[in-house]
Amino acid sequence: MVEVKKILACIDLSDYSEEVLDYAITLARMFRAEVVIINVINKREIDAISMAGQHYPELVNVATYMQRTKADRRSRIETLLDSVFAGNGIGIAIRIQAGVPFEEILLAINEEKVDLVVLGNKGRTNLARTLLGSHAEKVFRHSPVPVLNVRNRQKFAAAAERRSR
Amino acid sequence: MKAIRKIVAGIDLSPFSSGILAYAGAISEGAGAEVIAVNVIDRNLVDSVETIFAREKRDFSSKRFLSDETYRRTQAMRELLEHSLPRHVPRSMKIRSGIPFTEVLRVVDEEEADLLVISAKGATNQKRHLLGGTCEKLFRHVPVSVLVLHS
Repeated sequence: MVEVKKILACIDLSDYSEEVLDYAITLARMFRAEVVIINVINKREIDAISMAGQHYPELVNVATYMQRTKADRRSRIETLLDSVFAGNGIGIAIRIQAGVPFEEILLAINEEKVDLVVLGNKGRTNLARTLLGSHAEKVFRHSPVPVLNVRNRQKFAAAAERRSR
Repeated sequence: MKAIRKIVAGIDLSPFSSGILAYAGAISEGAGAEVIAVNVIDRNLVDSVETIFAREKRDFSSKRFLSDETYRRTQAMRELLEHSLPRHVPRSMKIRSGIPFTEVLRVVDEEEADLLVISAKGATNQKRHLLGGTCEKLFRHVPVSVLVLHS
């Protein structure tokens, strides 16, 4: 018998995020599971801010930037939940992390003891030349639990067409 | 969310197949979807058998081999579906021959499936690699949502 008690929804606030959240919440209802939403502030972004901070310490402060970004991301996720998925009746927690996205996702899988991961096909690194998000593929390769990669036939076809040009 | 009406389950009759059907069945129960179990007789297998027969200087009919293998797999799939899917879940099965990943993609398209369920490991990949070649190719190319089980 399949038992799914906790679902990790990887949300990067890109075009696919609503679909990922929709899938995760629909499955959570089916399995009577709870959802943990994870959003990762990419290490590359933090490194860039740190570097800028060295040149312009009066303008850039890493700690302040992190605090503001975390608050902003949480607020955007909460807005998405309220606007599209209000009253869904399931337990939802939000986890904002900083680091290498796929590493943070793998860490959360273990720490939260999730049974299923739901993520999007393309994330913020939405390069036209790659069909798959590299982080999605890395999670798919290394996850110890099932991974559901949410795709949209139209978007996938459009990306494939761009790739063939 | 777009309704899940059809779930294609890639079944290679390995020990991981019952888990794939159990998962597909559980989602199917919640979504009211049909499960389409697909098994592909690998073209490489047919070529290998043909080579062995030729080496032994014995006649080989690929048509007959495919027919016999299809019959054997149909029986095995029927039994697997019976044991692994909840009774009331609508189901069908397809036995194809060719390149596994191409044939599974073809079925996903033909059936206009909404979800593909596969295992990261399969009959030819139980220990050596982290992921099966067929699974990896499907993950890269399937245009619909895909659920990969890591047994």
